Amino acid sequence: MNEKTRLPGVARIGIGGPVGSGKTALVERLIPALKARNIEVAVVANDLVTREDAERIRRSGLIDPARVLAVETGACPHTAIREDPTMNILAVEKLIETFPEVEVILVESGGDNLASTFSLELVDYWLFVIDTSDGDDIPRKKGPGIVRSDILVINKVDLAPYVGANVENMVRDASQVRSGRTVILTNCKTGEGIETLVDQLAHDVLFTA
Amino acid sequence: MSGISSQLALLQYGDSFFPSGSVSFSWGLEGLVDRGAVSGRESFEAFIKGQLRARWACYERTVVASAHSARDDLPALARIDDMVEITTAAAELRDASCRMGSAMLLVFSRLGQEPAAKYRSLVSSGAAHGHVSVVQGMLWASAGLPERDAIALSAHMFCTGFLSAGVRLGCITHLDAQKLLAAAREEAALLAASPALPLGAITTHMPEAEIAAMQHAGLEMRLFTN
Ligand SMILES: Nc1nc2c(ncn2[C@@H]2O[C@H](COP(=O)(O)OP(=O)(O)OP(=O)(O)O)[C@@H](O)[C@H]2O)c(=O)[nH]1
Ligand SMILES: [Mg+2]
Repeated sequence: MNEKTRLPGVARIGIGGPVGSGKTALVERLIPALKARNIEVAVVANDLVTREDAERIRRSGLIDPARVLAVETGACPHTAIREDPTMNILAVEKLIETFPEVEVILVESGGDNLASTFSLELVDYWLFVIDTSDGDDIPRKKGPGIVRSDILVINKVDLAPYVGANVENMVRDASQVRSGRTVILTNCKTGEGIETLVDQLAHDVLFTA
Repeated sequence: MSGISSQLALLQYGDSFFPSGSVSFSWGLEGLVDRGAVSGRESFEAFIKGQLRARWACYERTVVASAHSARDDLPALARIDDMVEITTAAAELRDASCRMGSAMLLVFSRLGQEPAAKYRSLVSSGAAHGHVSVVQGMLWASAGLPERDAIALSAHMFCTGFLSAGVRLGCITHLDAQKLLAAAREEAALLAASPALPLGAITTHMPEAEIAAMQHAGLEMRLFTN
């Protein structure tokens, strides 16, 4: 256990980002990493066209399947996390009611575009996940997801050499448009960067001091 | 509330900008579109008019009006809720109706409406179901809308729920949707001109949509909850 005092209540952490950037892969990495720190986790997964992500996380063996809820978004992934997050809030509340021991709820949004942002009625804190294969000019293109998220995760660093992406430039551009707020590099295939990310989450939303 | 203020309130609650969880639901339409039973504007018009006649006019309308007059009488609301529960055949539709009812109760209670918070606790304690049409009638009454406005709002949301899902399913265009909404409005007005059934006599019969809703969970590609 961490010797610092845990904040009261549940930390609701949003995970947004374009289709296929690695949001579910990140959830699958965060679950064991948080568990290793004795943090109780539950998940809400929003899917674009199926319940596939929720099913995948349920079957992963990483978490009690009952702690994973799916929300269908009627082809409107951004609406479901911003303009009308009601169904997601209901899912979060249901998890809190059913599993009072839960301390962190990860809310994965459906894959969307660079303009998507989370309602702060739904989450306390949110990550935006892009990946190196989307093109290394992505951070420069800004977009509210990139600029305003609490942490920008640049995933699939392993693929950068194959797609000719310059990761250093990506980090530099991202830090610039984010006025220096946190940018973290990850490789969800190997787990690289995950501990750094969890340290940051622990510092920002899980513990006082 | 009077005059422009009550008109503006009606616009607020009827606007798709008002959060209600409705984007997640297609009420059986996704299944019908999937199997080609509804495709394009003409068949959509037949579908939505059929829904208005066989569901809204002889069912929703009475439920909304009854809940509207029950207002914050919680036991009376729970009895209306029971009535909806036992007269909705498809479990999927019952479940979706309760989910959307919960969504509306959540929104209105977070907006500070007291009857919403009270009914919400009743629903979470299992003492009431919280079906959407019951919840709508009570919430709109508590928000100060007269019964006539609540009925109009019910018809409007009933239609826009299908139409907006239809647009997102690629079944009709945004302009088709507006033409259909105007046509549906005439139909609803016509239907509303004849007296509503008493609560004890409400009935609904739309086997095709109900079956589509029941089979929905089996669809390979699903955008909607139902
Ligand atoms: N090489 C590499 N592949 C990755 C990494 N992270 C995820 N992937 C792969 O990228 C693909 C998409 O990953 P997902 O986790 O499904 O992405 P997502 O953002 O959840 O996708 P949607 O929910 O559909 O928007 C999968 O094939 C993953 O295995 C990574 O760090 N490196
Ligand atoms: Mg995913």
